[in-house]
Amino acid sequence: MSMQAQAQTQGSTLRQALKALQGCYELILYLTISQLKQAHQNLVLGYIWWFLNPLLWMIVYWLLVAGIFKRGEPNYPLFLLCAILPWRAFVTSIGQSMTCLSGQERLIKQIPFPKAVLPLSVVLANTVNLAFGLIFLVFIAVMAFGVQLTPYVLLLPLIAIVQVTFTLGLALLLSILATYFADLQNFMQFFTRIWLYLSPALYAVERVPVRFRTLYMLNPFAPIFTSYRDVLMYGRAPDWFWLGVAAMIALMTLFIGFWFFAREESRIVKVI
Amino acid sequence: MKVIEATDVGVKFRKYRSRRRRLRAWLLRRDERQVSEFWALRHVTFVVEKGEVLGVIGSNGAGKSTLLRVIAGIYRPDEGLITVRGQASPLLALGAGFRPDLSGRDNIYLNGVLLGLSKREIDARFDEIVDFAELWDFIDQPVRTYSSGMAARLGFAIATSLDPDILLIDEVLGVGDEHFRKKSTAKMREFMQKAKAIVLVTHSMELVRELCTQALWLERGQICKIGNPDEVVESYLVGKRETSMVTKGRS
Repeated sequence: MSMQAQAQTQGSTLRQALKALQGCYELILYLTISQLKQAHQNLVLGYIWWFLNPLLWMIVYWLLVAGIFKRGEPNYPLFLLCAILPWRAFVTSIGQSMTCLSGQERLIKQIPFPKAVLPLSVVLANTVNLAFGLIFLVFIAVMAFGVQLTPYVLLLPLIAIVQVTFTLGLALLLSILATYFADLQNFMQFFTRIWLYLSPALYAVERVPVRFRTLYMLNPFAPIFTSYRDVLMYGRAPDWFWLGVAAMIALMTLFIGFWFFAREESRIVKVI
Repeated sequence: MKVIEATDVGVKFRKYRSRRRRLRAWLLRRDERQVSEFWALRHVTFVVEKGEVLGVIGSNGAGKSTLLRVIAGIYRPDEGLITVRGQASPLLALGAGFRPDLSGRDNIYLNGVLLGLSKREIDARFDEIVDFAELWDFIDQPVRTYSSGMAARLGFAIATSLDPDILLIDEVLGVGDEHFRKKSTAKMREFMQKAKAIVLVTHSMELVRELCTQALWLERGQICKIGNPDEVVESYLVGKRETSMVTKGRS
C-alpha cells in the first residue's frame, strides 16, 4: 500500500470518494454499532426512548389537535404515529450529522480515513432505529387499533429506503456546511419544525387546497408520510407517481450530497 | 529504496479575520483581500531511504506535526509532491478515536478498524493489546472511567500492535507511570528494528543524536538545515542560543 499526494488535485472526484468507501465496510459497521451503543448508554430507559419519544409527541399533538381544536382524522393517534415516528429518524440523523465532523476533530486530525464514513454511520444507526420503529408501529397498529394488514404492508421497507436515501444526501451536505457554519445547527432546529408542519404529519394531504397540491407534493415527506399510511393504515397501494417523484428527488439529493462531500473532504481537515 | 520522498512540499492554511468573513469568502468564492495565507510548510524537500530514522526538530509551531500529518496522508499538500511507499502508521494517535461511553473492548475494535485493521486481525491481537496495557480488570468498563494514564496505555498498546512499515512518532515516549514508560520505550526500540523507516518528531537532542541517521531542522515551515544529526543538532543549539541572547539583549 503506498500513497502519493500531489498539489494539483484539489478535492477528489466522486468516483475516487466512492472507491475509498468500498474498502471501509468494517469501519462503517463498527462506527454504526458504536453510535447505537453510545446513544442511550447513560439513560435508565435506554432504547425504550426511541419508541417513547414519538409516543409522547403523538399524545401532545393528539391533545392539541383533537382535544383543543376539535379537529383530527379518523384513528388520529395512529395517523400521527405513522408520520412522527419516521420523522424522528430523519431529524435525529440530520442533527447528529451536523456535529459528526466537528465532534471528531481529534480523530480526523490524527488518522487518515474517508471522512464520509462519519455521516454515513450516523444515518445507518438511525436507519436501524427506524426499522425497529416500523416493526413496533405495525405491532401497535394491529394490537391497539385493530388494523387489518394487507400484503401492501410489505412495501414499508421500500418507503423507508426512499426516506433514508434522502436523509443521507442531506446529512452529507449538512455535515460539511455545519463545519463551515456552526450556526446552522440552531437554524435547522427551527427549520425542521416548520418543515414538519408543512408536511402532512398532523393533517391529511386532502386538507391542502388543490391549487397548491403539486407544489406541496414536491416535498419528499408529503408522499413519504402518505405512503406509510396507505400501506399500513389503509392497506392500499401508495400513490406510485408521487412516491416515484420523491425517490427521484432523494436520489438527486444523495448525488449532490456525495459530490459536495467529495469536493470539500480534503479541505475540511484544515478548517475543523 | 526511497521510502518517503518529498519534493517542494507546501501546506497552506487560510486565516480569516472572523468566521463571518470566512463564510462570506466561501460563499462568494472570492473576496481574497480578506484572506491572509499562512504556509505551515513550504519548499520542504527530503528523502528517507529504507532503514533510515529521520529526526525532526524545531521550535513550537515550526510545522513538525504538520509534516507528520502530510506523511500520514491526513493533509494533502497544496504545493509539491509527496510519495510514501508502504503503510505509514500515525503513532501520534494515542487514543484519538476513543469514545468515552463505550467499553475498553469496544474501543479497541473501533480504534483498530479506524487504523485500518480488519476484525480478524484485531481478534488475533486483542489479548496482546490488553496484556500490554495491563487492563484486563477494566476492559469491559467504559473508557470515561479510566484514568488518563490508563487511556494513554490503551492507546499506545493499540497503536503499537499495528506492525506498520513506516512509523511516525510525535513524542509519545512519556506515557503513563515510570513502569509503563520503561515498557513503552523498550517496545519502541523493538519497533524501530522492524520498521522500514521512522520519522521521529522530538525536542530531545539526545534522542536525535542517538537514534537518527538523518536530522531535519524546521523553522517557520521551512527547512533550516538537513543532514547529519550531530551537525544539525549543533547548529540548532547554536541558533537557539543566539536567539535567546538577542531576546535577552532586547529586554
